[in-house]
Amino acid sequence: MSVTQPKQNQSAPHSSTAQLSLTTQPAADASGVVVRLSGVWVLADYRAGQRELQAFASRHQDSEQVVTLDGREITRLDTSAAHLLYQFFGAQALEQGQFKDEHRNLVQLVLSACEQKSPLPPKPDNSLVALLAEVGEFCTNAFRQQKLLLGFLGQVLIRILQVLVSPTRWRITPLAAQIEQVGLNAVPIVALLTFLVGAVVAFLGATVLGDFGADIYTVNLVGFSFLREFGVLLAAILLAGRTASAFTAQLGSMKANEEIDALRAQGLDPLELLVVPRVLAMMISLPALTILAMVSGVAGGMLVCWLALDISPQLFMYIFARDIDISHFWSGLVKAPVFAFMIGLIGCLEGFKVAGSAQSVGEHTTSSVVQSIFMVILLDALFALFFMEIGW
Amino acid sequence: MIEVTGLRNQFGSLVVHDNLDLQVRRGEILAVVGGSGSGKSVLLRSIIGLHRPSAGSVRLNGIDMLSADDSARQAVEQNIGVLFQKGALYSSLDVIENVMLPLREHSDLDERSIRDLAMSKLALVGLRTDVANTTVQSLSGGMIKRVALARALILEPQILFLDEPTAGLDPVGANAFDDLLLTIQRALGLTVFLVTHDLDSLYKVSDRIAVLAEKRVLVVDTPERVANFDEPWIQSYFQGPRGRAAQVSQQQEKEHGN
Repeated sequence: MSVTQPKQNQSAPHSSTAQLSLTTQPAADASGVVVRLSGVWVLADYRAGQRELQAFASRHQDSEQVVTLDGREITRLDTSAAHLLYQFFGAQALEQGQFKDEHRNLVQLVLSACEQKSPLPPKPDNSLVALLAEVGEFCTNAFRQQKLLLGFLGQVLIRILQVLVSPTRWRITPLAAQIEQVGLNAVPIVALLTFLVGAVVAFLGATVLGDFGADIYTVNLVGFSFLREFGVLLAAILLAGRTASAFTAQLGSMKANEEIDALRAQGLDPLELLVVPRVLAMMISLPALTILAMVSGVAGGMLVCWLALDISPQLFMYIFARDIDISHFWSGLVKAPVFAFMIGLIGCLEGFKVAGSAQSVGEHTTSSVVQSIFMVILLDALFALFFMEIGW
Repeated sequence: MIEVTGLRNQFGSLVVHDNLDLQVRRGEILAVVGGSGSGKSVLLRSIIGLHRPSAGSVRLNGIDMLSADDSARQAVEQNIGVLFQKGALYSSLDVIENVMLPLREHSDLDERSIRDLAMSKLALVGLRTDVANTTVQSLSGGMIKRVALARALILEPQILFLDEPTAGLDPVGANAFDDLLLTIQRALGLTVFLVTHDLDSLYKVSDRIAVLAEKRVLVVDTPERVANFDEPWIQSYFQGPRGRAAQVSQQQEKEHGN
């Protein structure tokens, strides 16, 4: 309740005119001191109370004297002030002190609560050790994560093969629904983005190659880069952001809602029902989107060539067909199902790792996007090495 | 202490409360019961100012919350503590920070005093201090309720609002929470407004029970009298098998105590 209020009011309950006081007098047997408390001892005047007590402490530094508390003149007391008194005078003085009947219970409650306190947790290790521990934890986590991903990969592969050989287990409807979400709905964004990147690459080519009088090679630059790399990479990264997060959020909220446990309890296999259609939909959609991305990127480049370099579309297509071998198209497209499989896998696995709360869904969604983009780029680098070695 | 008069709450064409009157006296525990959808939570939200009623007035400590100016209302609001049904602990903070937050925002105390006070509140609600630095997610249901209670108590409120505090707790935990609530209420002299479905805790802690039905408060009286009130819904609520069992066990407990 009170937290929702603006901060401006904070001074209101803490009036500076404290209505509490503390006076002392020697005890009857002269061996100790009687501390007489009176007035209002509440949270609002906590600071005033602290000041009074400190003043008392500095007056009585030779604290051999036995302190007797007399709180009968306290008009209001709350647990905060009682705790303050407990901290200052200790349990015994409070126990034996005199209070009004209505305050006695409160003091007793605070005392019994404070007495059963367990010791504070040990101080954290020094920062170097903590840093090392953190690095170690990060590494083992990363290792465990990859192991988990490999295991999941195997499970899903086996399940996909099992499903493929028995047509009765094909689930066409969910697959089609997923393809619509993953593939069809992503068409506009993929087309627009790759068109723009294609135009940018052509501009870059025009600027750099123009210095050498080689502007005509802008066609080759756009063609090579989009067929081999940019088409599939851009489509995959877009899907990693768009779809991996959606998979994690969907499966994660199902997990948080115990729906996945309910499936298992009814003898249904969540892998087959939830993961296989999603991963297959990814593997069908991404190659299609990759072709779209290539076309659209080359179109962007063609437009820039036409407008900025006076290379007509006819000439562009002629050079394109003459210089660029079809193998470049295949070496780009062959990566698409692999990327798709990894993105789908990571999205689903992170969804399954969600535990309990809505916060956990958010954390794993972020993690799934980061991981899948990382994995796409890593795999792309490996592919590039591989293609270079075998001379494609 | 709390005075609700002529309250009307309407959502579209659905009237939840119509001309509802209710008084809560200083230092008592008033429990509000009613069927699902009878507007218990809406009533609570109207009183603490989270929901603006369509008509009627709500007075807390004699101040009309609907027409008072901001500063007067905030002064009253700092005097009430609320325990939400699911605890509503802030998941981005750890346990002790949850309890410290209101004090940090509303007082000018130094960090150490705030931490000490928060620790003492945790001890007050029966939590060991080693939970202080754990995350909210690692708490069990009963502990969440206790931390939420500690947070509600940190500003030393006079009035405490509890929305189904024992819902979702096992019987042992619910019973322990009832005991805790009673102890704290008696010692601090709190006024408690309690919304509950739990018949056992109803008999155990409440001084008076208000039955909410037919868009208004049907009856406000001691548990024994309410249980014998001649109205079909109240009869099926209190004289059904669960109601009887709770009544009997409470009587046994009292006899045992004597």
